[in-house]
Amino acid sequence: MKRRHFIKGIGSALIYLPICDFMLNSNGTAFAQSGGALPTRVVLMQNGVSLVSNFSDKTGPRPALYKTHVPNRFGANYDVKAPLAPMNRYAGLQDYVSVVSNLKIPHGNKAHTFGGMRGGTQGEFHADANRAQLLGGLGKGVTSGDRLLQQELDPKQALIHMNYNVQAGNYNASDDNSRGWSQWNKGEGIPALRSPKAMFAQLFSGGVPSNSNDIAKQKLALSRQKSILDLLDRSDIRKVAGKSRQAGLVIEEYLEQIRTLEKSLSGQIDRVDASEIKKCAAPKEPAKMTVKRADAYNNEKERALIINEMIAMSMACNISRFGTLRITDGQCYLKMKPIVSGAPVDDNYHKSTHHRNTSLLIGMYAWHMEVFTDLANRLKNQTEGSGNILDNSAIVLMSEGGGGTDIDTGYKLQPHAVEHMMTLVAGKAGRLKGGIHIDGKQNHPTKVIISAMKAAGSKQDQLGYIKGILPDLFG
Amino acid sequence: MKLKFSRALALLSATTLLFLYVNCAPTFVSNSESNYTNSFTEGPRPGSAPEFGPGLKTFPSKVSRLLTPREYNNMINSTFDLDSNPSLDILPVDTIEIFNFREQGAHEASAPTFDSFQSSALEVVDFIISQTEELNQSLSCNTKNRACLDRYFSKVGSQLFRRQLTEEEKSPVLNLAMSHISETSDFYTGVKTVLVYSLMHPSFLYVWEIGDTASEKAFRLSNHELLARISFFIIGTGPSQSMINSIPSEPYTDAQLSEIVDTFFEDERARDTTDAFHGMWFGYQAVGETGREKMLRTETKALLNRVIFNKDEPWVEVLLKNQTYINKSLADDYKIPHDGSSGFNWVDYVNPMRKGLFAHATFLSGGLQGETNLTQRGYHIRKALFCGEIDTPPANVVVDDGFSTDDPNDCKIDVIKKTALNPSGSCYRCHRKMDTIALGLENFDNLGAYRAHETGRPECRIEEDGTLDRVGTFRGPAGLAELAVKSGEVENCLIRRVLEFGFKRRIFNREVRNFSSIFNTLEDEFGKHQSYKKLVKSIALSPAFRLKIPEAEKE
Repeated sequence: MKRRHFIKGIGSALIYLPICDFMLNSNGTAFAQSGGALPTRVVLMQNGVSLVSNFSDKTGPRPALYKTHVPNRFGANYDVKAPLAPMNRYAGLQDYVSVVSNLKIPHGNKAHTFGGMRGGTQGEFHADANRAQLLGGLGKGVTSGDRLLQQELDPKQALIHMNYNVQAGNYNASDDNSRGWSQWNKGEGIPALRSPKAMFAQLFSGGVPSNSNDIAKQKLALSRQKSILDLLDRSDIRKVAGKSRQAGLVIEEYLEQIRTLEKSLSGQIDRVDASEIKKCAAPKEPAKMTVKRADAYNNEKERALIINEMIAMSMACNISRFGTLRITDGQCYLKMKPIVSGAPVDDNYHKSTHHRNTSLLIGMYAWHMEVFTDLANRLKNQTEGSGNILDNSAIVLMSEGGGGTDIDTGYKLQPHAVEHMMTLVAGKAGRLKGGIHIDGKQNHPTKVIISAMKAAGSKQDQLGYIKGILPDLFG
Repeated sequence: MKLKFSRALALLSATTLLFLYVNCAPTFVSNSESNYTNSFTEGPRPGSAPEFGPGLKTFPSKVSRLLTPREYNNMINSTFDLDSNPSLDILPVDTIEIFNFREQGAHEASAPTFDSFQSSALEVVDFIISQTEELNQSLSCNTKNRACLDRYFSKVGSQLFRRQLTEEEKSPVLNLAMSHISETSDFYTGVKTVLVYSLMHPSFLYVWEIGDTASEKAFRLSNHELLARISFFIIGTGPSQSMINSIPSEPYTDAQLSEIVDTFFEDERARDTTDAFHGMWFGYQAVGETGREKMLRTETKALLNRVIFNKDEPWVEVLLKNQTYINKSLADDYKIPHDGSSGFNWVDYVNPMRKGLFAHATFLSGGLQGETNLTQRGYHIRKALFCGEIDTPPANVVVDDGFSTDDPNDCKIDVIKKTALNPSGSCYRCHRKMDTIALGLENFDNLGAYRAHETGRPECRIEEDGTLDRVGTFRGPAGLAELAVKSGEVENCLIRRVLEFGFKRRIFNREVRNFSSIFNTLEDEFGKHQSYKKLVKSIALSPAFRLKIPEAEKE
């Protein structure tokens, strides 16, 4: 039976129930047998441009730009402005979403700072502002927070790491800005998947069988796949390299990837055995989505929801717990018209920060908020233990920049700025309070990521060059 | 403005680099052609290590590159005789296959890339197995047993790996496949095992150029590697099984290579690959393959086929042809009279401002819609087509903003003259090299249609000439084509671009000395024959093409 048909066949017969009650302790907060805590999840999401526009509204005076997004009130029950308003679509979700404003990457020429101001050399805004947050600075040889977390909490790497982009193509941003965000310590960004079909294949090619026959078949199919990789690993493939030392290095790198795939298949086989996934359901396999880069919009709205569904289900089924999702690439060139009504036909998101009125920028951020809250709400709707999955998650939404002093020119109220940054966190893993607005007090935005990692169970206090959490996020 | 700017930057970063040819080639290749001379003072020293010139100390050569998605897709189609397959739906979108040849992050064997390779292998193999009739024909065996599987593995494996498979490497795979067959009592499970193994094998996923001798500096490619290099260069995929089976044990002679090149040029895929090359160079690779965009691609491909393949005319005819191949729909867009018949026909350009590829909407749009942008067009022509150099914009210039004036009644050309092309302004130094060229094309919108005035603004008539620095002024695509040919710049740039396309690599400034003499030779030859095919053949047969030329460190 074809793998795809197999998955399709079983998918409809299954229901969502990620972890069964009988597996939990009497409080529903831990596994009964091991006493271990319920699994935690972290997704780091990205909005690819800043929060402000450096041009006046055509219809009136330039607004107090930063205040268009950030709540006026600190603490619980903060006021929700238009860019954040999509969270109001889901009853009770605001109680899970915390806003951290007034974050800042310090200026300077050191590894943990950004921008030299007028001739400085550290960092280029579009290429590096996002990386600086995820890596905790711009030093070389740094591993991104999502990868560190998986190394720590899933040392066997049995779970699938998600490295996904909603935006279907880079649409003319430079390669530096659209290349992988998540990275290993080689200092190279890892290319992300952009195809929902490829994501489906990565997450659900193992299927989620529901009866013993299916489980046996599925295990055999996975074992066969694994045996092929094992053969590649064991065979004398090194001969391909001949006597060339450099070719030998390439082969070793190749074999490392083959072993990673083997580990992943082992994890899938384990999960087939694990009782908790028997009642999970693979989502419907996404249809082929063609990409025309020239259009600069390829149904990203639809893609985002399809991807969210897969992420949420992979977490419910414990197929994956960690990952990055770039909603928009850095220096995003996604066309706005299909997302924000009233946007000029050919204007792109990046342009809105430099060229157009603030309402477009607000509309685009609101769409990011839709994607962010859609995922959060899907996790909130999945019961787990005595609560829901969002109770054991930390979903972070970063932005490329804030609004303030341009890192190159020193001009004020500019989008190429790494001050007045705002980051959102949804979820209550590890005593995260949820539902509050706190003053970031010009702390480095990486501290929000470290806080999310800590909330997920990490023992690390440092990411890259940045140390410490934001204690106010925790209760 | 940044939109096209950065696309062009990605597209054309290589164009700032002089791209010349190795002169150490005779050191290595015994049958090197006598007209390739060594410009180094030391001269060739048979048997010695190659010389790369002063200042060239380290050569972090890449002995392998991952297949690009286009090559991967082509390899599957050619090996299994398919028109299409699911791989392009699964492999990561390759955003930089534009004269960068995966030299950035995509060189890395990353986890997502390999996830995609595995997913693609499974999907592609499922697809192949679902084509039962074709598969059985390809298997061509009465009894489905190990011997049958062995023959099939040898056949498809050699094509995918671009070399013969040894019994030693086949044996464990066949053992595994047979065990899977006995597990499932299904012969096709074994076929799947063999195919998935092959599609995940480094001999398929990487193009290897290790050579006959392991050297940190340079070495001669093996016959297998040379054949694959020429094959990817001309037909965009690996060589056929019969070519692989005919690889001689001795180094290829020029006559043998000449025959191989001729065979490749007879292949329909050479036309697709030539179109892909021109798409990268002229910047229309972003134009799609469906709907109206497909019509545009048909028009341009027909021109290339006619000049390069059907008649082997001088390549400059691509720019100078007075006819174009269009249907009624395109004729209406271009406002060219058409007899109304269905389908595509060659028609004469009526407007004397039109000629050749510069008049095609593929080129004029560059895959973009909306109002034209003088800077984008000019930048592309200067950087890509003329291999020119333009400084990076100052850091405090927000290139997205475009130019504007305080007077809303200013026409676009007035705005440009008051800003970018204001001789007393700071923008002028660079913009005079770009926007002045594009002024001459402003009578043609992004759809390729002629217009006498700015779209929607009849008061803004377009009556400007374009200027090609130090060459002359012109109006329209025809004028640009004539000046481009007159200057010789576009032909020189063609040679560089084809060399890059063949070597699948950038050549860095520091390597200029290594390439100068042979580049000059190619230039001289092209000046005489003017043929694109002969240019490609000259490169493919040149001594340097038989070598792995290591890359210099990034600058």
